[in-house]
Amino acid sequence: MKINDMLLNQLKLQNKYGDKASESETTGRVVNGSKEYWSKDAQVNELLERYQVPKTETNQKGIEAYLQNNEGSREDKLETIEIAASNGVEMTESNLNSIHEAINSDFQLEESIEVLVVGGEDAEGMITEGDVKEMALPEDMKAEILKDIESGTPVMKALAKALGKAFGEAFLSKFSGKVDGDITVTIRITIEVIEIKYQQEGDQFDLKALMDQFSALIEAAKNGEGTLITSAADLLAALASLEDASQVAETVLDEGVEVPVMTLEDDEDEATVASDEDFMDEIAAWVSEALNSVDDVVQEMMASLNDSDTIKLYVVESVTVKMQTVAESFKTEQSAMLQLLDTVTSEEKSLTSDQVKAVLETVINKLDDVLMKSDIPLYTSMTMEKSLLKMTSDLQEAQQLLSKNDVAGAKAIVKHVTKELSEAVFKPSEQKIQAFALKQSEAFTQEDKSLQEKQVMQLQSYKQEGVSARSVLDLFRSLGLNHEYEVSEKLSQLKNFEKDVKIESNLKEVLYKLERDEKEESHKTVETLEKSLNNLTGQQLLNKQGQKNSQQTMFFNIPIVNEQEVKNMKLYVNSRDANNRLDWENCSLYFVVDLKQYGPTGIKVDIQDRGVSITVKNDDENLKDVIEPLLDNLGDILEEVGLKAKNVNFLPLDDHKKFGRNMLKEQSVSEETTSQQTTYDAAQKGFDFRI
Amino acid sequence: MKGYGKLQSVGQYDKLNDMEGYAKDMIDQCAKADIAVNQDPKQLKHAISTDLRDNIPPQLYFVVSGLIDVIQKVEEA
Repeated sequence: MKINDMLLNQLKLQNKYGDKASESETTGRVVNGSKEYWSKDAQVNELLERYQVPKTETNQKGIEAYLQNNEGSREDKLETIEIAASNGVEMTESNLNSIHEAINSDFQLEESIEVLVVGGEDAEGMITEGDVKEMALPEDMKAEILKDIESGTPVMKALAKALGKAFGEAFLSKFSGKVDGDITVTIRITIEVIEIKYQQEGDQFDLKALMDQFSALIEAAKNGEGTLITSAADLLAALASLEDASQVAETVLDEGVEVPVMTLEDDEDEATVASDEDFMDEIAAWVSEALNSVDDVVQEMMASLNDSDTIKLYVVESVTVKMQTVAESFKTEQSAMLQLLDTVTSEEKSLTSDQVKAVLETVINKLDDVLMKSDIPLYTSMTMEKSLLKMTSDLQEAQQLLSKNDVAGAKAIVKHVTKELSEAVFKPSEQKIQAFALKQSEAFTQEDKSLQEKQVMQLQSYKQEGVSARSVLDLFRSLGLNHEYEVSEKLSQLKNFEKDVKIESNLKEVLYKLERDEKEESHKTVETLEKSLNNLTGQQLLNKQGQKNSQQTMFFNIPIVNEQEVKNMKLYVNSRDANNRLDWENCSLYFVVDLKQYGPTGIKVDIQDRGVSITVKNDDENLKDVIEPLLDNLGDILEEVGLKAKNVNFLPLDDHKKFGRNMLKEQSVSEETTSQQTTYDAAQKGFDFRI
Repeated sequence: MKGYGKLQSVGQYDKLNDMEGYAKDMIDQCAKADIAVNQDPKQLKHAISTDLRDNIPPQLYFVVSGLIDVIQKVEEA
């Protein structure tokens, strides 16, 4: 069962507020044997009654403090209370402030980035010239590194050069796939090991002996005895665990198996996943081709690669290993799914309709996981993403046909999907190979970057290219809207022997760290931090699961990035709750944005039985000519993944903000979607095969 | 080096029916692991109830992406 689902189900079964009202009750009036805390405000009381909010002391105090301290208008504040009540969020002052901020203000991405840049100047994790001076490294090695830095070489590049000189240019590339993380991590870990060894052994320290130990370790790793290395301590432990490192190394060297120099054509030694050598060679060839056909965009990267063999070999090797790993994981998933589909299409096995639906559900979940959780969409073309999306849509259609006893129709779809899936081949996109290589080598083209700066670059470079489901999910994740969930998942899955938790960097976490570490910052910085964090938290509160028995609403502030500016677009979603999931076949989305040339605009997307109707609300008569062809084209694109474009309508702008907010309330949900609920056949509730 | 125990299993909290207790424990574990998260259990418990990778199907993300693409093009036109 998925993490936290058990708790969520419990929450749904009980009062939607989840927690028991166990306040220390001191005042209030007794109703049905328990004390109730009534607000002095008649309108608030009416809302609390309507949404059956427990009249606890906490709720009463929270509402009073919020009404008193928040600077918004009374109308906005009452609306915030209503939306919180409708979504089952406790009425604490901080919860109400967060929701108020999210729905009433735009998310200020640019201001948040500005805070990161200001706050990130002395960020930890950055190796400076001063750090190198403090390092316990052999004197001649240190002198050489410092000389390079003084002549303008970035610190990481100087360190890489020194390692290349000490251990041979191909040295670092050997660690690709064994040391976790990017090349800068590998360099840091290796330098740290040298420091520790040098401190332990002093004048006796012998770089060549260490090199031999590393070689032995790599040999052991190649034979499957090694493990992933995430810190210098791991590397030292791995070295110590070699029974007799120097002896093994001697054997290796005696046999003439010197650490081979890696080239683009000679990569089979290190291919960690080479179960199908021809295919892996093909991937290596694609990588080679992609890196050789770079255009102006990546010239900077090539200059850096050509400048140092150490870096070049590492980058080429790590890109190749990464692509081979992703290709292998696709093949594994593909084969598992085909095997499952085979049980449905096979003439020999006769499954009941319910069994077939369960198998299809498992395959759909697997496909969705490939699309939303794996690295596969990050390195392949958008065409492949669309084709996988179409397969999952088709399989859901097959499930629905089964519910209508159309077994032949369902089988025909499954056969078609099986054919499509069996013919699918993971091919890394040239552009994405180059982007990955650029990321790997970027530490050497400019000065080392702090966590904050990396975050800034990631967000600044975010501009959606083409239409991709994964890119939107990853935007939300990079803002930190899924941060706490992913942390809780990592902590729960932690194995006893694991000492470190790796979390993908995101804006929310970095802002929290800044808030924690930079208490002395200026008033403006603190205010921006609080506003940004409140805004992100407000979105998370509005997106909580277990809101209602039959409906799920969601809300996002989406930054739209273009050349001139970052713009905020609000997105309100409401849908039937399909087993803790939105129902993509029957739901409503409402986008609110202020367009540069055409002013305030609302775009409503209604999906009913997969049919998509779009209504544009705007008062500028010129918008229609511009947006209509774009929406027509979007209709064609949506058809490629299993939706059906129906119509596009244009209406004058009404009270569009109010309209969006109403979508977050329980009342309007029933009014808006009653007709949709009756058309949906709720098949297979309660199955969850994702374990 | 950081060292801390595994976050208690979800099942134990299920018995207590206590998402907020789970959130409080998570805050302690995160402090030991130097991971910054929301420090208010009444907010954190909701933040960990939603997994955006699971609760929104990929088709809906695709529709949102399509609209973002349209808006970007209108802005650049």
